[in-house]
Amino acid sequence: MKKAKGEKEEKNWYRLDLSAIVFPTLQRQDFSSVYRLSALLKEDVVPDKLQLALDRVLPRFPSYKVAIRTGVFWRYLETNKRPGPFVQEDIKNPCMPMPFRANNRYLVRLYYYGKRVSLEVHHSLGDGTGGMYLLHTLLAEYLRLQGHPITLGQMVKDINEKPDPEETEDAYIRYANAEVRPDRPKEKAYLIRGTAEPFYTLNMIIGILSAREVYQVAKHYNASVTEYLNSVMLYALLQKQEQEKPKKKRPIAIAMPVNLRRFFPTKSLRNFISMVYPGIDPRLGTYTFEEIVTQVHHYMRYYINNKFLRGDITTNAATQQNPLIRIIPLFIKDRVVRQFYKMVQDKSSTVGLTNMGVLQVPENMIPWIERFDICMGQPFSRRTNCSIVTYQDQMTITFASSIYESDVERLFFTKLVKDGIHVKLESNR
Amino acid sequence: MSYCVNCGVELDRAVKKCPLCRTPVINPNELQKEKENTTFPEKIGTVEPVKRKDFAILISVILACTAVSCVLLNYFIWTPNKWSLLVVGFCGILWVASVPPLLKENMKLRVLTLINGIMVCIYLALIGMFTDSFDWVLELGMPIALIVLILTEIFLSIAKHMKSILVRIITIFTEIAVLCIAIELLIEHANLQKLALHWSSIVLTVCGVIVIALITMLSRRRMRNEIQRRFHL
Repeated sequence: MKKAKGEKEEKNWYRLDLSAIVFPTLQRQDFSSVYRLSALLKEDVVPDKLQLALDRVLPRFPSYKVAIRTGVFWRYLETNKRPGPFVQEDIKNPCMPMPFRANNRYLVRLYYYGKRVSLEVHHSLGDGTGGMYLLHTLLAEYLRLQGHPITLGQMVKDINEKPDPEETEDAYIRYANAEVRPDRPKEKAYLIRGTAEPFYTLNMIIGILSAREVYQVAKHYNASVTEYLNSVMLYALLQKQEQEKPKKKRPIAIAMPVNLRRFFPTKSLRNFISMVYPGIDPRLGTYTFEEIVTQVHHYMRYYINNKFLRGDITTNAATQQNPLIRIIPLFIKDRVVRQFYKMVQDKSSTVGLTNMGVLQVPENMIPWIERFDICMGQPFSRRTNCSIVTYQDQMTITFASSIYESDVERLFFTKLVKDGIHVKLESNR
Repeated sequence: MSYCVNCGVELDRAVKKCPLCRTPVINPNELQKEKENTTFPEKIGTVEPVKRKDFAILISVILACTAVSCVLLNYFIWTPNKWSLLVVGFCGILWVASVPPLLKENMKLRVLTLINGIMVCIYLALIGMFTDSFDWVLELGMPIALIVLILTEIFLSIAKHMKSILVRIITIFTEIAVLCIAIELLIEHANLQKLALHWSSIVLTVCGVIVIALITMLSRRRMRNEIQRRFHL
């Protein structure tokens, strides 16, 4: 096809966005920053059609059809023209490490098992919202191939349209313009000590709840659903620390990613999240559950707004944009960042918790989808990650960890049961 | 539909014990039922091995070309001595150090060190051929290379089984003392002097003091904790 006058060459490489810079640095033989998004359909999955749907959909998401490459100063993403990725039968241990050279250099994996379709994405490509756009568009195309008319809208993109350049932008840079830079949390939080499971094990416990029930209980405590679930998590961790009878108690903090698209408009499908750390300090005294809810409620209202988040983005961007840091060779940066993450970042929170909120799909897709699950993947250290998503009335809470003990999960779910919420569990343990 | 008697949660049909408290699930109505489709697959995935064979072939070809061309140049153009032996030996060392780890995934470091040690000994023999004198190779070069190899193997073995940094430091200082003593004795033996410790005794004393201090720290928990407290990062 003849190119229109002034039309630019198609972009075939992308800088890593601000968040994505860290994830390849943390890559080890036994760890990758991989997350999983799953959809449970109403009918068994047909692998051939799923493969066809993937082949049609992936070119529409150019920042996901890439391989990661190493430059002298930074890594970057390069358009991957190799065959693949190929759908595969699902495995017991999701989110296993994703070496950059394996899988024909693709950083996306697609699995099927029975009625479930699972998409695994390396975090250096994009966050959960970006991945969810890919999954929804893929499911829509798959269902079309199955003979169901699926319309566009919500998170379903038109695979015939040209990708909007804004979809591949690093939105952090656009909004990193606050005049002050707030400090990052520095205090070391309480860390869960668990027995490491053998390599390749990822224990998942999925709790399935009624979203309406959870909403009503949260309303009873005058909190939002996210505030209530964060409070339940803090309450569980507080009990866990007390059971361990430590000589020195430590503050308990949750690392919670916030979707910045809610505050700063962008179509970007890459990473655009910021971390907040709701927490309590048991050294100040004994907390009742109601007090925890109040604390979390006020913390969220105070910190999660465009002013504070803009400051946070600016703090993070300042390091990357510093000219002196930019000229340091990558292998030195890698060592420094890895050490900083190990010594400071990883120790500043006790668990990770993300709530993706309520997922919406086009009207005519609803009859074919039972529910969605998300999994934050293997934690960097021996702890647990919790991810929450809601579809229709089904809320799923997925815990993922590489440790044998499941105390946090038990304390979390039993608190929900005590609050009168019906919990159904599935697990690969 | 089963519930955990401890936790009060409903459990999926495929679950055989509560994932939270590990209480077995026994539903008297479903004892005779065949195993149903499980919610999660049984197959355990493993990471696809990265194909680094091409890179290994590339390195092998480059090193082989270098070695062969040097041998040809040595025999047909620059022929005053056997200088190509040095290049061939060096290419061999580079090959041994780089190619086996590329071909064999998770190659043990101890095995790799052993192969490299043997290659260094062969290289010393080639240098001996180049200089037409094997005395220093047999009396100094080879013994020192072998001692370094044995000490490295011992260190790797200890490092594999003992995670304590203090133990590793003790091993390093002990091995430095042993190596210095061995070097001094070998030099004296090669020079036909009377065997006695001179400069190596200073190294032995310093290392000895450090090792004793570290062993004391290691054996006293209170002292170890004190050091951890004062020097923590």
